[in-house]
Amino acid sequence: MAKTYRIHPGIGIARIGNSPDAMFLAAETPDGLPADFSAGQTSAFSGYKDANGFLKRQGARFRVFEYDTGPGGQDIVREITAAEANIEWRVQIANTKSAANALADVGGFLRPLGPPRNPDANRADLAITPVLPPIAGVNGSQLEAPSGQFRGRPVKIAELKTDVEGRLVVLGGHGTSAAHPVATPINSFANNPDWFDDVGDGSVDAVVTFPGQAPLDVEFGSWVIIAPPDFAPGVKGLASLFDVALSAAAEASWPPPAPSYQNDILPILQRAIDLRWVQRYGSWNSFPKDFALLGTIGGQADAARLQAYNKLINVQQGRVLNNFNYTRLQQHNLIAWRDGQFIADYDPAPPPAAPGPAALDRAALEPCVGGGWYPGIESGVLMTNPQIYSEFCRLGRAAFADAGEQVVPRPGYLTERMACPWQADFWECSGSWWPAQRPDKLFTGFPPAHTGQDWADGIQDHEDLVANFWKLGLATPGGTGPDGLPAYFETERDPSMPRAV
Amino acid sequence: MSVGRRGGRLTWRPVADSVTERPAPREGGFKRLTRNIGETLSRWLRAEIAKPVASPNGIIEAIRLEGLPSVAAPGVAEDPLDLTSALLDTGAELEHALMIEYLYAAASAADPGVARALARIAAQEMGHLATVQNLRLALGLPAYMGRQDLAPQPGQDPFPFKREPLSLDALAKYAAAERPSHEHVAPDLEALVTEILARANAAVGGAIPRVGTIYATLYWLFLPTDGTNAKPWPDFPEDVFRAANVPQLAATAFGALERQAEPIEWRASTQGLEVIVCDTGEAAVRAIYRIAAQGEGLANSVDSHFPQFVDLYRRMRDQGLDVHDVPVDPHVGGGAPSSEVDHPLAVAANAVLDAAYAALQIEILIVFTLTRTGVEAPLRRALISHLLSEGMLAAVAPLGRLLCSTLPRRAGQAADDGACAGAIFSPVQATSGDRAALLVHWKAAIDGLEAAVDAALQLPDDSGLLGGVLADITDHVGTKRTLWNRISNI
Repeated sequence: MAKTYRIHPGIGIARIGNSPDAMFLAAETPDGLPADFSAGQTSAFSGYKDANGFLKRQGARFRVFEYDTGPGGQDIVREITAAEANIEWRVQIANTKSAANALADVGGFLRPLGPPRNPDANRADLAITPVLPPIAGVNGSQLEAPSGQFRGRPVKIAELKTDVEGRLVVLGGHGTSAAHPVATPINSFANNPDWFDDVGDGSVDAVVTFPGQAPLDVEFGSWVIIAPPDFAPGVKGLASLFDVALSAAAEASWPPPAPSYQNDILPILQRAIDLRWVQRYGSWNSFPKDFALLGTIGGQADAARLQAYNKLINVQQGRVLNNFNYTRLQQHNLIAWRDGQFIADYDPAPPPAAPGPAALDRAALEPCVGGGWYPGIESGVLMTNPQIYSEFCRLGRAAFADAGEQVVPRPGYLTERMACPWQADFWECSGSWWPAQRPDKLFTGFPPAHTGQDWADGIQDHEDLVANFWKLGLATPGGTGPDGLPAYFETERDPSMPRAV
Repeated sequence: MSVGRRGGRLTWRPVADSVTERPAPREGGFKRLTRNIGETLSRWLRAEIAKPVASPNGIIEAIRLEGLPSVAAPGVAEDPLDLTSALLDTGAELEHALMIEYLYAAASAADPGVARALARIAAQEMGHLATVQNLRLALGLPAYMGRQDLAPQPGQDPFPFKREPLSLDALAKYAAAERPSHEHVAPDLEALVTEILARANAAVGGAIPRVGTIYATLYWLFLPTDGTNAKPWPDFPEDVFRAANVPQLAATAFGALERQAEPIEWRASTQGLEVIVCDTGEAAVRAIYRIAAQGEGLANSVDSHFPQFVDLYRRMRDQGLDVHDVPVDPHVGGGAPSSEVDHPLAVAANAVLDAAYAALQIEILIVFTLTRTGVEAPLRRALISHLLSEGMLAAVAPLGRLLCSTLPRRAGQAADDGACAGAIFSPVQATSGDRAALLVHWKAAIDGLEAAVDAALQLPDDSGLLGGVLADITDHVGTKRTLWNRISNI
């Protein structure tokens, strides 16, 4: 069987930040830790802000893997690095928000079916489409050519680097959002004429050349999304983009097999409880915590599962979280679990996930919101369409149909369906949207001695958030609480930010 | 402690009478009309209103049917500020009532999409209510959160205030009250609208007046008299109001801009919620027109409530919509036996809801006493954030939903009996006042909320769903007390 080459993660996530030179890489295993990144190397993580208090950019690192088939038919996977081949990375990223149509409510979801966000006759002036020259070698650095512009104003939305192994690191913009050329105020959470921001998305491809061999195009390229910051890293949403991808994959062979309690149910319960550190402590803290009981069948466990199921389901449809639904697969699994049709494989101390391509795919997407599509943060409801994927956790490059619309994948097509600028949505979507990324409340210690404080306290309006988003605090791991479960406390809030209460 | 309406009681006068009783024009305040012009218009108006219902101008049609609002005794000149004040009182009461009625219907809907659509309309009523407050503040009147059932005007209200589950009758009433001018009804909807109006009228035992004449009259009152400003309401029949001698407000200095609600601070755009700062006469008439266009008015627009209610009506009639078993006007004693709530947990949850609703109403009123800039601004923002996220989203809304979808109505009710308690939403007596008075009310409401939560926490909760909401409210009581202290010390 021929060797095939794939880039992982299939979908990588970078995040903007206003630090001029400090950056970090997000965890590359589902429960791993982030790492500082400098001069092509990683080092121990030192926080989300630099020495001057500026928010670091999150880089998305991509690797090439070779897939082969062993004698028993199993996949043999190994990473290809610069030590044995030249890897030339080819990346196209765009921010086409301002050139796109306005998002309009269609059946409770936002789709780009409104009038153009900007009336400019020359749409090309509105699309920020930098030329990113190919990059190869180790510890390389390639800024975009000065062609990313919004109405003639240069806008940096991407930067490429390679690490000491020749892997690619994609970085986004520095958090610049503005109205240009006139200071038009923000009046909408989603559509604001004259505004741009510096997120984006696009393709990540590579050409691998082994010594003495012809260059080889990597057949399975990746996609990178440059997203807004995650202000609650470590706290995961009830449905993530990884869950969305899982559900889309399951559609091909529905019904899915009986769920694993450990892998399919327990994470949802744990995430629900973790949300207490970012929103409505009382509600989320009231979720059942007897994980061993909930992972068994028969006796009092049946009633306990039913009550836990009711609480989990009650979260949907705006009852707790706006526009939120579990994925179809999650709903199927939750019902099976409620009814005792699941694999009772609870393990209180599971081994850490092994590194590798699957871990990269999962680690990249699990911190991303997989619900509350109004419109979302990293990407929108489009990700629920199975046709968007060419394989699990990998986006296709061919056109596909979505809700009667023909979607052509091209750089910028995912993020143009997000709010413009992203701060408009972040400001308005308080209360019940995506607390795992845009917290509502943060704590500095354990309740009841410490009460939650508004994450955005001190920000006056959209435009104040545009200017000062980087000053806000983050919910980061704070050990374990009295109940033995993880705690997340507010850190790194700029001391100059006033709090009213 | 009750703080009542500021304006006088409205009556609806037949237009022809008001034309013949035209008072002498007031210097500088009213538009001047010569008797000849007035008589000419009077004849024209009489001819217009004699036309059949399918009049080309729906405002005239409505005025012919319903008359024009007035606060003056017969033969006495209408004072424009008195009339405006009374209309704004009534507008606030109706917007508030509709918001609760729509919320109740939304909570009763088992279909999440239907519930979301109704809740969104309810949120838009909140926007109308905020804009009405801005109009009040602009004229130097305090914010007012009265509700229709505190000062009912039988025969004048579109229909009696009633918390009722989603039904064809309820949807017909809502559509009838928010119907636009006849000419805005698409021809292919005429038969359906006729059916809806017949059902609505049968449900209330008479014709349902539209709320539109209130906003049409307000539009006229605020319409700048110098003729230099844009007039957003197309085809507005100024001649009818002129002929009927409805006065207009004199060119006035619009005040209290620093305390008026701004859309951004209320996170308005996510809900399609429109809040307009009324800093000029032009802004005021645009605000009134937008309320009229979105609902409660005679104009029409793409986001009007009317077609949404018509669509829901048609869906319910043709396909059926699942609705929780929720009573009409639930109560804990003194009402219809079938609507009585006596399950201890539901009684306790309703007590919490009423206390949370009272606190929320008073918090909204206090916001309108704080300025958007200066030392009060951070507390204003914090209070808005608190009342939206913690008062509405984490307390009133989830309690209302639980009471209308989950919590049982009767003590001893069988486990498979789906009778839900319903959310009582008792009216809040504190409806207006200065900041000092409101702080007193707020303190009492916070104490009441804490006591109600403590009482509810003593009861077993088989659903497992109420405890989390109560725990949230317990957390948020601390925030309320902190805000109370900070605002008290301004």
